[in-house]
Amino acid sequence: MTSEPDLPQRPEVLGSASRRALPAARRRRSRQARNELIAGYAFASPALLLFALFIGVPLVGTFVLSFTQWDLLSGDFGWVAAENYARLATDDVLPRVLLNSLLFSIATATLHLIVGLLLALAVNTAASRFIQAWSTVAYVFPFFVSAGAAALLARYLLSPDFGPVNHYLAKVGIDGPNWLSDPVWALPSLVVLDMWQTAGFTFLIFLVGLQGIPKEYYEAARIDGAGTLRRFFSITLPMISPTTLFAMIVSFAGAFQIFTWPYIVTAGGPGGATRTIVYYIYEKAFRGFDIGYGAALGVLTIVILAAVTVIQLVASRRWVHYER
Amino acid sequence: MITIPLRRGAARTRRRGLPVRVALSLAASALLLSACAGGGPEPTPTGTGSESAGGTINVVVLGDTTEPSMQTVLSDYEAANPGYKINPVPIPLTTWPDFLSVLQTRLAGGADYDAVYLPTEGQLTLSSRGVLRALDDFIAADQEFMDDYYADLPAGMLKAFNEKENVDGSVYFAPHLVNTIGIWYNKAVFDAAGVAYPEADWTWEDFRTAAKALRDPDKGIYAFNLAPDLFQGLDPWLATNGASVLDDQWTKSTVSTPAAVESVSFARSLVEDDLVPAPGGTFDQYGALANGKLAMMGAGIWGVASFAALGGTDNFGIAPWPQQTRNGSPMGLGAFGILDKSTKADQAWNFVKWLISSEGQSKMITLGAQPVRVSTQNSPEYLAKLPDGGQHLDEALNYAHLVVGVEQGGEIGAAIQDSWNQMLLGNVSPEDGLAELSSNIDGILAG
Repeated sequence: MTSEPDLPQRPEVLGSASRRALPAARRRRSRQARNELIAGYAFASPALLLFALFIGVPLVGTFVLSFTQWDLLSGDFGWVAAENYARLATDDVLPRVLLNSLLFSIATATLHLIVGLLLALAVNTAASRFIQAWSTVAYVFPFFVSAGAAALLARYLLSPDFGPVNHYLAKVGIDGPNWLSDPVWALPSLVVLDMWQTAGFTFLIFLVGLQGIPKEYYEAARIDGAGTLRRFFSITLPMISPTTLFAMIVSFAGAFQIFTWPYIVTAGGPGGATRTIVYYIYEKAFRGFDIGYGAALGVLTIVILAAVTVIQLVASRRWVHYER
Repeated sequence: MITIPLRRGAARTRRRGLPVRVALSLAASALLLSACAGGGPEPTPTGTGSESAGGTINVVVLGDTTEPSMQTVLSDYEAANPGYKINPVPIPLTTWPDFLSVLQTRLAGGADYDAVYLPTEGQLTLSSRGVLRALDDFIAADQEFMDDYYADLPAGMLKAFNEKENVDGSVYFAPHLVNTIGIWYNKAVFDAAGVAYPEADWTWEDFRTAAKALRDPDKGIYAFNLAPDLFQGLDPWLATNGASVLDDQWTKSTVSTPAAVESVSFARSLVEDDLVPAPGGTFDQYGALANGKLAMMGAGIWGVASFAALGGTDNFGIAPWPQQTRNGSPMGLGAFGILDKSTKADQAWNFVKWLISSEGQSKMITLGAQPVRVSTQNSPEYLAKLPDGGQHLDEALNYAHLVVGVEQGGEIGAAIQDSWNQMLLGNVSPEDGLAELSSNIDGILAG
């Protein structure tokens, strides 16, 4: 049986001077921690203030307005309790509007992910740095083009009689449709236009994700005899799965809030085929001067987006891999 | 774990640095916020502040206020009224519904405007909401002048305007310009096709016969262009067949009557016969008419201003709209409304008065508009500036009807435009399209 070492009791470990110093050190650490906390908040304050002003306040304001009837022009204002929300249930136009928004968002987000990833893979594997740089600028450039200018250009390109698209289709014997005025083709046309302008952003996200994968993984896989497809499915896709999730959420949310194309290119037509939820909010709030109902539609949009994002995050547990 | 203590001096420096950095961060926040708030308020009047002795007023108009025609008229006003200045505030959009959307947002944001230009399509939207100041007191104070003005207006026009645009017996507008619509045609295209110029009493079938002769696919010449909106598009075809969008009281849709169906069917047949560009495109009818790629188009006197930059109007003629059962044209009246919150209502009224005076009326053709005073319409100076046949646009005031200008004009205008284009494209039959449009309009009117 071994005896316990004859350790001195704790108070004896520290000298009396140290005992006196302990509270002072703790106070210093505590003050230091508090100062760092203050500094942290101070550095974050510009973003926090902007967020509160431009996101938080409008969000709360929208929610409050959704319980009112307010005419911006006359200033007539009144509380109507949940009347605007009851109108949501009886609005005949709303189901079609939501369907348009969902179809547009799903199609756009899917195309963004596929096209953005393919472009990023192509650029990431390009041998020449010049080609990489040039391609990156070329793909991202449309993202910085004024949406209004792009919309007007799109109307010209897709014009039925004089547009270059139908002109060249006719050259190969195809009678192009009236892209923006045909109820069948109008929404798909907007999906393609949106992809042209904003896929560069998704491409950039994927490119950053791809460039963050350590080369050693590919070298090890190659030594083990893994082919191109195996490396893509076993290394690339899992490694960029957090990036894919981010791109998916951002693309869907952005597409669901689309306004520019329906506003400038199709005015929500033909026959409501491109009337999306945000365009509908604009029609109700700013054309019909029905701010309260527009606000209720805005709250509905937030709820739908939040629900879809939660579903995406929950489902992502099955396929998103985080490096530990 | 090895801890390397900070040197006493370093620790002190770090503690002293914290408040500085905190202050800098907060200052950066403030700077950022102030930058975001940039742009500043709308231009502030720089006048004398006097209620009645001149000064600058902020006047809102749609479009480009830097156009020479606009600048000329404003300069003339300021020259004729020393001490009075106009600060034109443009809302650079192309449609009245969009203009009203922006205007209401600016007004709700506290914009400091004194007067706003409104067409018939937007007048009730503002006057019925208490945004504008009734002109009754001003009219009473200038009774003699106003009596002379009212006596000089076409009787039918004044009656229609009073019936529709007065709210609770009060007058909110004194219109200074009017627009009707006719058919502008390129004489050279008619001459080349050997087609006689339109007569004043020509019919739809005369129109179709001429259109077939004028269409030349090989040269890319279209006979006519169907405009997408109510005023230049649907309304004239309805009016010349005795149909209308709303009933006389503007309380109910009448757009699905057999006469209206016949009107839309005729317009649709022009598309089917390939006499017009496909609806829904970006056809520039002014450029096409000027370049000889279009034989005819519908427009009002504003064509004078539109064609000014395209070589003038010497090669064009103007005919009344072809008729099926009667003469017809929409009529839109333009006027400035004085905002209720304006502290310079007297100055704004002075501007309105000048516009409706004989001197102001003589400037309307410069703006590309018809004057409202009959005396000005008949003056040699005005007639000399009209294109060939331009008098038909003034004569149309005898049979024209006021274009739809209900409170919900923006929503109804958008519904009409979408429906009209759907019917022209053949996506829906005229019967079904008009029935649905009628139901939509009644729904909008019912609120």
